[in-house]
Amino acid sequence: MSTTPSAQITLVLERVACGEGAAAAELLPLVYEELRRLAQGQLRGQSPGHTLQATALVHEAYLKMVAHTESGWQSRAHFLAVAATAMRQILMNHARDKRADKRGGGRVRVTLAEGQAAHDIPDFDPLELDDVLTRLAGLDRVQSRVVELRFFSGMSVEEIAHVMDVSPATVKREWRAARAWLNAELNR
Amino acid sequence: MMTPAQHQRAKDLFLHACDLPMEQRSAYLETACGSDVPLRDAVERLLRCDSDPGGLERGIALRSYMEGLLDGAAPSQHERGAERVAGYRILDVLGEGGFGTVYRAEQSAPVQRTVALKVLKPGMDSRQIISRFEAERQALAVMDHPGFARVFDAGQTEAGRPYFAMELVPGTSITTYCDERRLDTRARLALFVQVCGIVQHAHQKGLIHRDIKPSNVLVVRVEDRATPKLIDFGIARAIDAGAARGTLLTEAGQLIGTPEYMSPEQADGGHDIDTRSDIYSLGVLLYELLTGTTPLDRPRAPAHEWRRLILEQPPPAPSTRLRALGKRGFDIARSRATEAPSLIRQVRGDLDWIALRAIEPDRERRYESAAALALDVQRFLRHEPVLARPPTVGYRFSRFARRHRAGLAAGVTILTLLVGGTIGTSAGWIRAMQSGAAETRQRERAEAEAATARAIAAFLNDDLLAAVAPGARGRDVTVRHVLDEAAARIESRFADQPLVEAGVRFTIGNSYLSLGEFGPAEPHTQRAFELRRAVLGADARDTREAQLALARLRSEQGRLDDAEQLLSNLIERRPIAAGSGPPGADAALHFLATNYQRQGRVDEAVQALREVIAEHSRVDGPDHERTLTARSNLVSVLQGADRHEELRPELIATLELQVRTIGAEHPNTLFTQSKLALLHYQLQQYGESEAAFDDVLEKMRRVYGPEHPYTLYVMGDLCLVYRATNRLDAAATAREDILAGLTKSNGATHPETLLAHQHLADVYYAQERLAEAEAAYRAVLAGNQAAFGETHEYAFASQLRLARTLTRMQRFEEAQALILPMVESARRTREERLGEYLVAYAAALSTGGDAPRAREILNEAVELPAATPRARRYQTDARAALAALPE
Repeated sequence: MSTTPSAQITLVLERVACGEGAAAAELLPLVYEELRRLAQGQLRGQSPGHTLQATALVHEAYLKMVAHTESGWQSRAHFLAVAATAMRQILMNHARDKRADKRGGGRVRVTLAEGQAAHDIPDFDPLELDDVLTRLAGLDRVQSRVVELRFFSGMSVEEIAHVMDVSPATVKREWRAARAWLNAELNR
Repeated sequence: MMTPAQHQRAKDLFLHACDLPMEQRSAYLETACGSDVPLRDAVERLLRCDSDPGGLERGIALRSYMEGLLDGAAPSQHERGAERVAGYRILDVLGEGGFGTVYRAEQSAPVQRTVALKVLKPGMDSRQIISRFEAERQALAVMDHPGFARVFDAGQTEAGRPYFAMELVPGTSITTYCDERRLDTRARLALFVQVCGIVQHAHQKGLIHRDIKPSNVLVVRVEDRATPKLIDFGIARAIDAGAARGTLLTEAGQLIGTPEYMSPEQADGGHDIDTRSDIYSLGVLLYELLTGTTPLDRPRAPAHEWRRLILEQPPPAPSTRLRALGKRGFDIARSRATEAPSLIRQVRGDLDWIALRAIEPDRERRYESAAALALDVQRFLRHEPVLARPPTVGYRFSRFARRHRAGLAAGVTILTLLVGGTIGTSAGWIRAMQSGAAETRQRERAEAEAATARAIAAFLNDDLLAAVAPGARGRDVTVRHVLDEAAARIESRFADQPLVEAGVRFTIGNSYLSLGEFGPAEPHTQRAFELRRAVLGADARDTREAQLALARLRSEQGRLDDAEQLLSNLIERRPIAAGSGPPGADAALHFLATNYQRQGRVDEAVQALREVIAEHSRVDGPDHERTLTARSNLVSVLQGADRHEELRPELIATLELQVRTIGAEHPNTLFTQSKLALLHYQLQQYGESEAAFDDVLEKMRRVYGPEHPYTLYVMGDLCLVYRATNRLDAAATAREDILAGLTKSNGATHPETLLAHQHLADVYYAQERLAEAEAAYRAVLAGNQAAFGETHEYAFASQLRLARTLTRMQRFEEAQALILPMVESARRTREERLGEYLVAYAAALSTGGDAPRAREILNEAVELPAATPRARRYQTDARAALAALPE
């Protein structure tokens, strides 16, 4: 019976799409809350090997939270961009909690899935990824943001290009470089 | 540790090197890096990691994940250069098996096409392996069925390794395919039947596959139909090959095949294998399609232990496995487009039987052929009795009931609906009995309850189900029909059993309701309520339950007043003792609040919600999700009604709660706090507003960083307070910081940055720093024109501000020249803002000395339709300007 904040969010997205970027700030908490709720449903009391479908959650949240009659793909892209930030926080908080209570040892099996390609990352430590991403942000904000959007919201090149206001070619190049850099860092 | 500048340099060199052929890279790096050894190391490391097939496992997993995301990623030089085959251009690696690597390759002659090229791995060229490799090619070549990859060509690579080229199957494994598309059980079974057909064909051609598993069954879309293909005949074997011809062990003693999918006789060493071994693997595949797990999940035992395991631990039935999965079952059901309980129901029974029969450890008891297995699955799909299971009367009936499900409007089965309703009713009835009753009375009641339940069950079975007896109707029996039949028989059946009648009617009414059939639901729901009230009393749990159902029905029918009356009545008679309130009282109140909100009765909605919050806080605790839901509903009702005064204590309470439960620096808490600060501003409590903003900003700077966009946006809100309290200098400083921050993170031409720039210009204008304002507006105007187009509202907004600034700077002609095209455009499009443009145009004219023309323009503005608040505001402005014009 709870009223979904759908209308509110749709309105904010319209404002963001109309260039009122400040409106995006209003989205984060709403999106964060919804994602956290969805994620908790999946994660609560799970064994460490449990799979959390991060991007699936993000898309589910989008479907639940945004009225679809009015919003175009640009709105969706803005939503996903906000959701990526929220999703990352949620995963990291979850991993931290796990680590804190010693049971999970901080390891959660994260399935970063998108449409056609779904791969499990066995025993991947999200905190490690978070550390590396944070370091990358210190070196190159654009790269870290591209990775964030790719990883945690499964956004397409075009969607990222739109929300970051750069060309798709730039996104692809930054992505390739970021990918190599991450690979190198994670395999050190 | 690298600096950002070094990182950028390395990145640029890396990207440039990527575009170069392998052989030119090191020369390029030599020149580009010179003596900068760390730089060169960094670039080389990036190049190595660009598509390094080695490295740690998780690195590979991460890479393959990312690879999948990168649209159209070019295959690396490394992979491309791995193998040369005359007549083919190798594009990338598709997969690796025990002996072979499969490449995607382009064939130029005799026809141009993309093929899968399977090449024997280096070091795998023992005679035994080569002959096996050859056997696979031959096996495939004789197949005449679309379910196999066709073989085009065979030969030797330039390095002398055998290869063969076959049809490229651009599919995904059958389990992935089903999960990604969230195929339901029936769709999965339909695919599985096709797989059985392929295996049957191979068997007819005299071949046992011996490695049937999801990754060897790919699904491709052919003419928009899902078509499975069986691949990798790498360990296939001729049926008539003598038992002595080699075991399934490699020289190192490793078992060939995949343990989870391997029949016990194959696990035993594979001396005596026939087609029924493939039936076993098909059974495991079926099991996995149904449950997302294999019968023996993830074997840890060594290969030679495997057979013992299979024999000693008979696998659980698929539905039992599903039940045992607990929470994990949630995901599994979700990828089957259903819920866990309903998935268990689908699988329980026939499908359990079919799967278990296929994976019988004793092959004598398995299906005798893939075709027989397929037939039984098809029987299930047609709702006919399956062979795997001995028929009983009840079983036949359940098949019948399911056979008629196809016509159902809602996806509910009559049986679960009705029987579930019966159980609920009986259990409720027991609870309705007042507590503290003597033991004997309780027993009597329990007996009476059991009798009632039996009577209800008897009715449902004898009458309702008799109505759908085979032959009574055609195949198009639906729940609707069944309900109608049942409804017609209730009358006069229960003269002495009012509670039984109430139970049946309550169930039937709810069933109609869930089908969206409100009219037919009404007499039953209504009568159930009346009967229960008469027998059990108005306060009994079951009566209240029926009353709530009736209220829901009324609300659905749009009879909100009637719904309200029922709900109010329910709420008034709420039990007094804490915690004893039947579930339903709070629901009724919450429901009532929604009801009010729909009617636009804000006061009552607010009051009801406050009660719900109080109730939930008391019963469930203030931090409980239900309490928080009611709270957030209240906030949204208040916000929707612009009730700022009342919103304030609500936000304060929410904030306190959040600080306590999720912490003061949680994003949600920060969001609430910034909303509260803004609310103070709206209430013109500037001192409190500023203090609240300062506090939240201090935290945001710590949590997000001082230049994070969210921090900057909240700073922008703070500037509203500065403006309202006429502290333009503070506003200007803050706006400058915001602009600098956003330019850094988003770039100068990003719409957000442009907006921040415009806000800054507005402050300059207010400060009479007109030259700075002009420069800023010009930059914003150019940006908006480039981003949105010259006649876009945003471009016009900056253009208008620029014109006002120029007017103020006495540059009337320039100002007029800017506004005139806007006026003309707005006249054409009847844009609402025409009034605003006209007023600004008149100002430029009149201060420039052309009062008569200004009067004309203002008269036009006054005459404009004033349908919206905004239009009315422009009209008021125009009147004021007209009055201020010199005579």
